[in-house]
Amino acid sequence: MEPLEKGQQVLALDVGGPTIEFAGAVIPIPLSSVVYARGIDTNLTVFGSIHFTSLLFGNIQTDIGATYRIYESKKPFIPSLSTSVNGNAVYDMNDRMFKFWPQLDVNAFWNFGEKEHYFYAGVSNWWELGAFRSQERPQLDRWLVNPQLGVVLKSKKWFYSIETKFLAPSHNNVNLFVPYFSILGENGASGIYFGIGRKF
Amino acid sequence: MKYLLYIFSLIAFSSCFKMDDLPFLGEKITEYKFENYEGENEITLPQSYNIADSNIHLMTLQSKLPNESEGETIYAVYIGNINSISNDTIIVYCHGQSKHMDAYWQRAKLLANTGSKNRFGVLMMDYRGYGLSTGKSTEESLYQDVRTCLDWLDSKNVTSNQVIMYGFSLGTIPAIDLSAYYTVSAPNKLIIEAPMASVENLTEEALLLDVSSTFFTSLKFDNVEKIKNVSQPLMWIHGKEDDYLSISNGEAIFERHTGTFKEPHRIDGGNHGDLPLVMGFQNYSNKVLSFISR
Repeated sequence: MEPLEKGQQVLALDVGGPTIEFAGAVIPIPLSSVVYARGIDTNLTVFGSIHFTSLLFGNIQTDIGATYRIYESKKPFIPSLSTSVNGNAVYDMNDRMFKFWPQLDVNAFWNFGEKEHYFYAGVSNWWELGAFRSQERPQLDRWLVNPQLGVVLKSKKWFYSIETKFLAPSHNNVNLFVPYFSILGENGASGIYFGIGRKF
Repeated sequence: MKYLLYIFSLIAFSSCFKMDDLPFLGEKITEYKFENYEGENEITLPQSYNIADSNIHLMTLQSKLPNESEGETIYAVYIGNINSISNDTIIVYCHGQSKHMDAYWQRAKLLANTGSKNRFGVLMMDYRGYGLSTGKSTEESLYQDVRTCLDWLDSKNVTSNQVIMYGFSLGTIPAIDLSAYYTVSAPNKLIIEAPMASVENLTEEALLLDVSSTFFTSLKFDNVEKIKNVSQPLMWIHGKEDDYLSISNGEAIFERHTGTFKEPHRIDGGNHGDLPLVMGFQNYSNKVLSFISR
């Protein structure tokens, strides 16, 4: 969300996903990825990731993109703004199938404390480029809007993050094969994501 | 170089996981209890539906895929008079994904007593890995296990026009496949209760984006495509409140059936496993009987 300093590098592990009700408990689907990011200048950071859980299922999945600081606030309570553009690509090694989804995030973030931790709120947009589903049915969901909230805590060498997403909150989740949990009840799914990163 | 080795090792290690076992929730048991089964049941029939011991025939059959040398032993039960089987109408009941035949005994009894006491013969089987059946189920073995049962009927001089195929939930997958493609002893009519359209369809419904099911599983369960090849009359039953396989699954299948006759039963208040109960046993039986008799 917040771009890195110029020349700074980060290697991070992210774990988490949409939550489901399983055996009486609510648990996140255990998706995981390793992310590398590098500050090109103080306003622009580029990043790339490889998704480990996906790899275990025989798919090479990656996110490649950039985060740009649109506005830097100097005043308390007024947030800074950033945007991230990235492409999420998956290649199925077994069936040799490729899929690509573009993504655009816009976030407001508020720094706090001496170490400039930050809290953020924003929206993550995913687009489906395919016009059809199986059986030649039209793809009705071409644009998914997912609000998100999170906090990033920093130390000298490390940072820790936790984020919750309100996935597809405009969609009804009743009678779906996957028993999603949502704090919004019958709408969408709640996602929870944890991250830990090392700065270089 | 070391890092390249790590990357190649990781890619080689990948593909180890697929969710191919997920649908097969069979439980192993030490014996079949049928009338004396006290486990959980969504349907419990009055005693008047009980089947006499002389009409319960537990058997083993050898189910062998083309690439297997030995095959697996599957257990099946025939409800009815085995001496008159060649003259009877037989319902081949393909059960759902849970447990074993004991858990579906009440449903099989209901079908056997549809219309009148012991009116129909019912043949039910445990797929590989279910109950006492050996081995492990796969999509291909599912078809083979049911095909083996049809072959047994054929060996008893039961002709195709005496066979009604009934699939419930997971059981709709072999029921539709064999109705569409099995020519040796193809069933005469097809009844499907709470079917799944396809794994692809489930993935699309759950993820909204067009994420291919092949990313997670090699299973297809492509009922929605295969039904196009079913020419037999079709009866479809689905609960409007099905929270496991939504009614849209059944709608997609029903819409694509191009045979000479089809009838839908969309059940108000019906969920996934309770349709005979919600419909009422008599009403359910009347609908099944009417379809079989037409």
